[in-house]
Amino acid sequence: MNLLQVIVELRHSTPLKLFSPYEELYRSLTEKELPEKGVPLPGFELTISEKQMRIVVDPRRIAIVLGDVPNIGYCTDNVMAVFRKISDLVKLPPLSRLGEKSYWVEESELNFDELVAVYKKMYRPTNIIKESIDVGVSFILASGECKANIAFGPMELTQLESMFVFKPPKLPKVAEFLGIDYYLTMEQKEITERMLRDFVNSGLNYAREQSEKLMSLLKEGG
Amino acid sequence: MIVSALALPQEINIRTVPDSIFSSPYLTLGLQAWMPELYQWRPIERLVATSLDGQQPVIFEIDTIDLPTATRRWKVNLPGHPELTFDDLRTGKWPKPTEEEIEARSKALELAQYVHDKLDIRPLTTATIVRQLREGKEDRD
Repeated sequence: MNLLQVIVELRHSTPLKLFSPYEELYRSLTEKELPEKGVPLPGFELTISEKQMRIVVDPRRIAIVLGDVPNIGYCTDNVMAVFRKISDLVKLPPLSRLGEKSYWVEESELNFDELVAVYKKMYRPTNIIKESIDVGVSFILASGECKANIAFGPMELTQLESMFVFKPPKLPKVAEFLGIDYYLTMEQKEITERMLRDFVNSGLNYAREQSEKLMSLLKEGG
Repeated sequence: MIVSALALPQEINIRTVPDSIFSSPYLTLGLQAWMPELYQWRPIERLVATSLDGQQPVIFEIDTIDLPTATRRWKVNLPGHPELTFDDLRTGKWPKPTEEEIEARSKALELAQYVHDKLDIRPLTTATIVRQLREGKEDRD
């Protein structure tokens, strides 16, 4: 399957200090907490059109969206480059969650109804299954400390187009779609460059393995 | 494909309505009974999706930026292929060998074969090693 989009999200357990300057200033000068809870500054979103990249930074998260994903090395390299730039500017608070969502697509030679029929073979032929006109499969798998929310099924062009932040140049009319949200939840863990690099790499390698498994499963079923 | 909110690129903001407005002292119905469109299949474990939803972000757009990526750190210099970049190598785009390179490779293979024959290089198998240890000599048969 072809990798078409990757979202990496770092979710923080406490807000980034970048977004609460008055609280920080007050605390620094008075050594006390601001008596009234301040309103945090709005988040920041930067779209880099040529690179098909979007960077979202808000008080609780940093998210990097890659719409151009030639290979896993490119994704890891760019995510790390953005991470380095942001962590040079501000110390990142401890993490509560690391997530990496990737979308994989494979063009189908079958039409949509035929492809739905292939997916339906995965189920016991009850009345509901027989009558259904569309199907989506969802599982949560464990992989070491991480978990993966996996969703797959047939898609037509209109639905496919709605899935992407940056519309890929060529999308098939009918496709097998796979979305994998690989994540790690934790309690207040300091982020390191090594940890993020390993996570991004292992998440995409895991997703690629799952995409290969899905394709062989569908070939057997078809 | 039927897609759960967790698989979408952005989280869906579901309207929140306090349960209390649908309750009476005699009968309490859950929110989903009144508003079935809000029904979501809920797993045992609370799930949070990886998302890019910003908190009412200020939006900027730019053509390109210079990031400290490996492309910038590593300069590829392959003789005869000045056009080749690090990204080409990373995406597996190797250049086709030139006529001179093909000729040089075949000469190198010939030379290697000559050296191999001249030195009588043969693989050292486990059986040979055992026999040598047993007999205490290193000559090959």
